Amino acid sequence: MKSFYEKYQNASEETKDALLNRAVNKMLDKQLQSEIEVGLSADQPISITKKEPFARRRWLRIVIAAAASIAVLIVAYINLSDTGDITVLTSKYLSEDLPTHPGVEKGAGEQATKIRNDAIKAFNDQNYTLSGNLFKQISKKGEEDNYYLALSSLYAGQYSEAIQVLQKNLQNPNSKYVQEMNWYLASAFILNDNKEQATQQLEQINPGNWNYDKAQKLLRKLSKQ
Amino acid sequence: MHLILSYSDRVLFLAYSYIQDDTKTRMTILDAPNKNFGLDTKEFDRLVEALKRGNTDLFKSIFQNHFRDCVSYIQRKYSATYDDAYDASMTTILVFRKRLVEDKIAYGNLRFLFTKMASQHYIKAAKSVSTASIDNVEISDSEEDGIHDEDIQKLSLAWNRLDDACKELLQMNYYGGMKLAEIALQLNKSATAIRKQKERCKSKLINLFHN
Repeated sequence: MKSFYEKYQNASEETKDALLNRAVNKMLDKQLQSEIEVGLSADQPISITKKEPFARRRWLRIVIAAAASIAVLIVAYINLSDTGDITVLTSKYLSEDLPTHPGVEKGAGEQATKIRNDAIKAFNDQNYTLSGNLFKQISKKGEEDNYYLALSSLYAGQYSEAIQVLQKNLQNPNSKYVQEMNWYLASAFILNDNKEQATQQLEQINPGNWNYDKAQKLLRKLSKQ
Repeated sequence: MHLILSYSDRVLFLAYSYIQDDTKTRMTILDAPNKNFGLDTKEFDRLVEALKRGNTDLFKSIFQNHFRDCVSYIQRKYSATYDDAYDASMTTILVFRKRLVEDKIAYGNLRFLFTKMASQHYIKAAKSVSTASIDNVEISDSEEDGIHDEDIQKLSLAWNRLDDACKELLQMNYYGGMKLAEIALQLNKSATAIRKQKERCKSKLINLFHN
């Protein structure tokens, strides 16, 4: 199946315009939807995550119970054996150390925008798809916004996008998040099945750096695979 | 009866209705903003103008307020689940915006129209679910137009890196449905300059998308 870019390149000028028009409309509709959902969740009991009352969804309880049992088995398996799947181990590392946004820095000289506050709230509520959409909408993004945009994408399972943003952020060698981004980029590569790049990225994590021990464990696993 | 009146016309008709003791006309005039999300005709025009320029602030505040009523109505009327009623109402908001910028919706009884559209979306979605379960075939929007969620995410990243002038122009033309000649008039530029600018903006956006 042809990608959007290939389709666009091979199309006539008229079709190109129509294609881009549709794509821009879709993208802006998604942004509008996110903004409306933020407004809805902020000022009323109706919520984007609200579903039917939990008690009425027995099947959901059964599924969650089963999922929890499987999760316990997986964790036990990883802890007892050193041969677990590397993506499972990476997911475990990521889920046991969920990042939180500290909030807008005081004295940053910039009035915190509503959209940024909403993004931070969504991020800390672990609503990563929404926080990613909101961080994207901040027109003048700072280093911190880009960092949390990347984490939103990673935790929302959008690994390619997380990789893209982290690589761009890492072009600034003076970033205060370099150590964290090296770790998260390596994790994103693993989860995106880019094992070679994951190895290179893990090797960038030096002794004394954040999550060095975990990086070494992942490197050992990668070398066995 | 749907009255499409300016503010001054409404005042005149209202005065006339009192003189003639015409209760029906008086009630229709007084009720018009209620039926139109609290908007009079001038405010409605301003809403449509703002949407064409890509400004959705007023639109969001109006429809956020009506959203809950609409979801409750669909749940009540069709015994729909909360999620299905929510999806139908959200789809309607997006379609409603599109129709407004295309000048396909006129001032009259916007509240009724919106709720009617949401009901139709709900019924259509409910039917498509039952058809899909029979045929075991489901075609998503992205399969139809070849634009996938991943493309939209990439485009969103590219869009964020696009300069403000290009964003404004493409938003007015694509999302606001404004013709290039109208944009030229609005931005006080020649139509040729706007056409060339649009081509440059398209190239920039596609390059940002690809890189």
